[in-house]
Amino acid sequence: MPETVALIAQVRAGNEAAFGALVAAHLRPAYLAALAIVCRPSDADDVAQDAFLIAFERLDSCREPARFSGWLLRIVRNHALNWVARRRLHDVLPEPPEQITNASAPTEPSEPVVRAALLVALSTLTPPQREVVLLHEIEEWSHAEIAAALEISEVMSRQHLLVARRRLRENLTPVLPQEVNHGT
Amino acid sequence: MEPDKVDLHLLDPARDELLWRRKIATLAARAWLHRQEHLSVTLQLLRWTRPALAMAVAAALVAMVGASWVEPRAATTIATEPVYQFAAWATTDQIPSTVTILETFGGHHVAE
Repeated sequence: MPETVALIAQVRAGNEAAFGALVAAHLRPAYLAALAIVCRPSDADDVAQDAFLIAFERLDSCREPARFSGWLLRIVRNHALNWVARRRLHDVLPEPPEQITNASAPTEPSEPVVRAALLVALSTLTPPQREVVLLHEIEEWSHAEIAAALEISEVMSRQHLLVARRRLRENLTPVLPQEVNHGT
Repeated sequence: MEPDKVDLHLLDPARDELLWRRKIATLAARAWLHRQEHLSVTLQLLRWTRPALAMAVAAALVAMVGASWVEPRAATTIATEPVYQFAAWATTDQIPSTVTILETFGGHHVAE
């Protein structure tokens, strides 16, 4: 966080390189937070980028640079919710996996199939569960970091992760038994 | 390694590092430009805000000074109004002469 605070100060002073570093440090969490709500990678990409533009336009109104992550993710979430509402995708599901039934075949499923299956499994979770599991498993944030950014308690973060992992396993094991156990 | 961990690396947007770096660079450039445009608009507004505020303050001062000049005259005018004159006679039990009454109301009629 001290790095972020320093970067924000530099950006405010007009340092473009610091700006690039700030984007590099925060784009992935922003994307994952967006994905947790819109459930579609291409939409998450657009939402994260738009939210970044909004955030940087309003950077001077970020009163607590030490809490930049939380502030940014709030913008991302609001923008993602607007995005979903605008497109009437409240019950959005990712694009249906084309060959998901082939997973039972002896050949190893292709990357797009696994990816689609993961998205389908993720869509069975609640948005906070998705957000926690994505930030923890991909961004490798600690529960303390997640709790601070999402404005929840660490206990709640752990709880969301526990439930999310269990549900993902339940949903993925029948279609991708090998993929589920990669993490072990 | 956590035993319960579910492998989600296929959903990692930074999987293709080169593509991801390019995306960051493009977004950073776009966002920087956006911010500069926004700042220039804000600066323009700020530049116009000061003179506008100064003009508003000057206008308010002029209005206040004008009001302080107008007020005594208005008070005098009110005091010479026939209605007030009549009320003054009534409250002081004065009995004005016919000429005074005519002058008071006649003057009023002439003015109309």
